[in-house]
Order: sequence, then C-alpha cells, then structure tokens
Amino acid sequence: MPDSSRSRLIDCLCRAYAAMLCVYPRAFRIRFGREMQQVFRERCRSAVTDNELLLFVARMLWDWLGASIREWLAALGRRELHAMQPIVAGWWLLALCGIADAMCAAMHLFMLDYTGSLSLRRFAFTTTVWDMCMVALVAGACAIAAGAWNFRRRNAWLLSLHGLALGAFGVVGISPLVKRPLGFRPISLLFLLMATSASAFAWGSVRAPQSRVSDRWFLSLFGAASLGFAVSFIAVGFGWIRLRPWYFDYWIWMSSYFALCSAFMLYLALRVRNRRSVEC
Amino acid sequence: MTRTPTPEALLPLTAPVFHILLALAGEERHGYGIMQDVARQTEGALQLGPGTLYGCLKRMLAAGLIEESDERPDPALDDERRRYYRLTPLGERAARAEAQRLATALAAAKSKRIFAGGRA
Repeated sequence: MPDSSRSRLIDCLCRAYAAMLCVYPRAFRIRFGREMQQVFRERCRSAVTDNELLLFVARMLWDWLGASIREWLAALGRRELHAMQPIVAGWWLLALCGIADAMCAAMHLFMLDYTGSLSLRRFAFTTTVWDMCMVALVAGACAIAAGAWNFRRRNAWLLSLHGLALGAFGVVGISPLVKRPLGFRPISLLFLLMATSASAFAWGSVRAPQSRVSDRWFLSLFGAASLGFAVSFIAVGFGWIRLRPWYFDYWIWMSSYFALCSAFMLYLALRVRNRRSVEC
Repeated sequence: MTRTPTPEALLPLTAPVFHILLALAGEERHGYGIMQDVARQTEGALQLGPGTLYGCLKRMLAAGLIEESDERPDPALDDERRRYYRLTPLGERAARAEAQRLATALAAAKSKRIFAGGRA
C-alpha cells in the first residue's frame, strides 16, 4: 500500500474512532478521550504496517463495545450512589415546614364544631381559614425549596411535589379567584397528591442502604400511614366514605394528617441536621 | 476521615490490572507503552484496547494504585500531550500481594500435578 493511501486510511480510522468515543460517558471522554485517540492512532499505524488491519478493527470494535458498556454501568452506579447520599442541605426548611404543618394541625382543631371537645372555633373561625391557608402556603414553599435544594438526591423531587400540592391547598384557600363554596373533591385530589408523594418519598428513602433500623421503621410506618390517608382522601372526595364535610370528624381527620406530616418533616429535619442516614 | 485500603482488600486483582501494575513496576509509562508492555509480558495473549486500558487506569487512579506523573522521561523526544503513570506505594504492595497469591496458587497447582511444569 502506498504511503499516502496508508496515512489516509489511518486518518480515516482515527476520525471514525474519535466519533465512536462519543458513546462513552462524558466525564470519561473528557478525561481520557484524547489519550485514547493517541493510543488508537499508534495501534492503528502498527496494525497497518503489520497487515493486521481486519483483526485490529475487530479487536477495537469489541473493546469499544465492552468498555463503553462497562463505563456506562460504572457511571450509572456512581450516580445512584451519589443520589443515595443523605440530604445535606435545607434542614431548617424541613423544620420550618414541620412547624407550619403542626400549626395547620392545631388550626384544624381550632375549627372543630361547637359540639366537639374543643370549642375554640368562636375565637378562631373568622380569620383562621385564611391564616391556615397562609401557613399551608409557607409549608408548601418550604417543602418545594427543600426538594429543589437537594435536587440531585434521589426522590427529592417527591418532596417538592408534596410541597406543591400543599402550597396549592393554601392558594385555593386564599385566592379570590376560587369560587366558594368549594366542594371537597378538588381539595381531596390535592391531598391525595400530597399524601402519595410523601409516602413514595418515605418508602424510597427506606431502601437506602445506610439508613438505621429506626429510620426504616419510622419511614415505613409513615409511608403506610400516608398511603392510608391518601386512600381515605380519595374515598371521601368521591363519596365512597360518608364524612360530614367541614364538621367535627372532618377537622379531626384533617388535623391528624397535618400532625403526621409535621412529625415526618421534623424527623427528617432532625436527621438531616445530624447528618445521619435518612436517605433521599 | 478516609481509611487507606490495605492491598489484601483489593485482591484478587483482575488480569489487566495486575499486568498494568507489572508494566508500571519500576518505570513510568504512557498508555501506549503500558499496552505494549502488557502484550510483551503475556506474549500477546492479553492485548488491551484503549477502552479497556483507560477504564482500568481510571479505576486504578481512583483506588490509589497508580498516579499521574508530572515528570517526563525525555520531554524533547516525547509528545507533550501524553500522560505518564506510575505506581503508588499502595500499588506496589498490591502487585506484590497479588504476585504472592498467584505464586501460592501456582505452588498448589504444581503439587496437584495439574500442569506440565508440575513436579513428577
């Protein structure tokens, strides 16, 4: 083979190999791509000289296929591990969300019917709905921010989704655009979203390998309880269960859910603050 | 605090990793140099492609078995874009431990008369 044809062939193969490097994960390509091209060029030159081009091409294809799969698996494994790291930021946002949830739970109790065990409604009713919705809005914003802050962590988006539904509940209560009286069905859908996302977040966190036994128990129980509430919200919203809207049992029920969420958020905040292993 | 792994914790090494360690024993080499030396050590039985070679080098760098060298044996003769690698003390200990492990296995194979080189 004349020298010019040989060097054209080598250039052509090197260009093809450079294009094939795009298949590797970006970080690997950036770190080793240039060196790999140099090595390829030298191997290619030697193979052309020794008339072993076909064998060389077959070997390079096999190497490219195997190594790119291995590197992708390693990169995905690393991403997974990274995602399994504890939430490291925003513990105070979670704590704020937990406090706001606790306030919502208390406010629901304030709005018990006159016949209920607590009769604080007379002090609270005039502005409490508005206040409660504002507090829910704050809680939702905190949960969204905490999820966004930890967006690289696995399942953190579920925390934001929970916050989004909670915030929407707050907005529905204070927005002049929402026509009243409002049925429970739209509210139940928001609470369904809130409860299922919180449940999925908790159960997703249980699977983290570094979490403690107590964390696993707490998260599993919270996930189950939250899912139970989700079912009850949908059942009440669609009339499968008769619960008198806006009456004594309704407020107790809603208050219980906010109390549960509050406990969950405060627990998460505490664990994140201690930088232990509640994984997300 | 990160704990330094012991060489024994890294055993058994894969064949490419062990041969790369051997290639770097006592000498800094660039990628193509490593590739050629591994082929020489194994009489052509193990021919590393660029993907396999740099995948191994990446993992070995991460494990602290090798490191990049700042110096070049002869900058005037060499392509400055090339990177050279050398063994770390951990890499040396790991190579020694793996060689010892293989020697023990070889002795066991000899005692069982598994291969032609075994004692009669």
